[in-house]
Amino acid sequence: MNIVVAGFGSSTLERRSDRGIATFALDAALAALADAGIARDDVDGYVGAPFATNAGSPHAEGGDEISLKTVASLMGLRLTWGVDLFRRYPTDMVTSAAQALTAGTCRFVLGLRALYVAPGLDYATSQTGQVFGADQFTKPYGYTTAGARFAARAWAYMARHGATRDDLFAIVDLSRRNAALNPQAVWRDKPLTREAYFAGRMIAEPHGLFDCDLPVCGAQAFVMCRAEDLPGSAQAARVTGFSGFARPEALWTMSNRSPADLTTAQLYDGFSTMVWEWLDAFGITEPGGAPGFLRDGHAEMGGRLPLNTFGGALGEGRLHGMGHLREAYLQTTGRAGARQQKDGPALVQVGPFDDSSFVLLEPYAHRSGGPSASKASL
Amino acid sequence: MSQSTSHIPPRPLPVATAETRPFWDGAAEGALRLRRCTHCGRLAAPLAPRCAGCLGDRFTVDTLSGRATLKGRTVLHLNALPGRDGPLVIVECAIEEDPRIVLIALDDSGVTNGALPGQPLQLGFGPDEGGTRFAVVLPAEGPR
Repeated sequence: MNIVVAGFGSSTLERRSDRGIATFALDAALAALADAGIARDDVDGYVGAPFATNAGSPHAEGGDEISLKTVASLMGLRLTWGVDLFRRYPTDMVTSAAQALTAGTCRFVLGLRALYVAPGLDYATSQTGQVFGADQFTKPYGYTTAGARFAARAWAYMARHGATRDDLFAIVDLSRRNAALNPQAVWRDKPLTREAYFAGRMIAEPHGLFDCDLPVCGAQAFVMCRAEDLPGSAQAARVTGFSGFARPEALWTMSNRSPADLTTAQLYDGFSTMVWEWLDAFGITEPGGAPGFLRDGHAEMGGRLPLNTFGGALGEGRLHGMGHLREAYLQTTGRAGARQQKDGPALVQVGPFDDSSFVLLEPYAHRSGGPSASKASL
Repeated sequence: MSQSTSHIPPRPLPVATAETRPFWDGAAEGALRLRRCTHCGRLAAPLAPRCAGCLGDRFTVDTLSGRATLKGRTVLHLNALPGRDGPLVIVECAIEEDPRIVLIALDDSGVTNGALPGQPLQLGFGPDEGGTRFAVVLPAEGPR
């Protein structure tokens, strides 16, 4: 496959904002077009994933969600192909774009994901008059609130493998230290001591306040195209593999790589303990070995497998995996600045243990001899 | 100072469908009931439209023992269910007859305090709340 990510853009990330979600979305989209060196009129494909996942979300178009129809209208896009993926992840957006490009459906795909913290909503409550479908077996028990289901799973993992909250602090601490090197991270200037971590109020045991990512107003966007269409000024990361969680081996088959080849991994961390899942599941660590891997420093920058080098969602803010994808792009294009790790395959995993998807990005120049002119780091 | 209880909102009430009605009807009688595939004999989770094994669509309804083991547990400190005092102890119960089926329940009696994964539990149903009885865990009964 000869598909590349050709550019990335981000809005500012803010905990609260007087500006609406569409403003953040267009800031990110225009930044991505500029980064890829293409014009608005070059865009003929679009992929989004607009769903707001907060329990109290009003799911209001242009309120806390923004879909293809609105973005295309506000930007004046003339698309031959575009989709919004329902409740899917940025990794699925890359997969869909790659398939549309491979099929020749379009030349330049804009991928966009925006999040928004709507004022006055209660994130915690399961309060609602009636519950339908799967909710009838979860919401009356508070199980859908604050990641209770991930907390329950983490409790069992910790009991089985002897992990402690110091192992959770190791994840949060790594995230905060990495975020300090990410200029747009919400927590960039906020190191967290062990004492402050343990002083944070409990949310859903074992998760305390700092084990939960921080909701933000913000958007990030990418441009993808076939390698032969890559604009001369653009910095490309090659998409060498993707797969869904039920067949994770397909990622390695497609890319002709193995977990041992990875030079960085950006693992979804909506809650701290989620980063253990795929370290174990991909065999990077023995079952139950992920906490020790982190505790022993192997996930540090310069370590055996640097994790969430941008600070993760725990350090940068909750962008539902777009931040993870962006960091993999920056790492594989040599633009990660002070966070830059060595060249090589970069794994992106987004989603929970029972519904993830994966993308592998690799440096473009290495396999193709493509352009590698320097460009400012981000 | 006593607190008024007159404006405590009810727990979210399930809207049953044909698939889930056997479960909730059983719950109202204090019994754990699930459907069993008439073709392959596998138990079906309450929401399943068809048997997860053979995809058959014919079921009988079985009353189960209520015996289960503790799969996961969390103590939720947010006010997810207004009107209930203190943190919620939320447990995942893997039912004995088919541990692939996991039901969520509250532990209001502290039986899972200090528990480890795999501890035996008894799944039951609490008092009537707005016409529905929700799952609760009780101490495991008798020899296993």
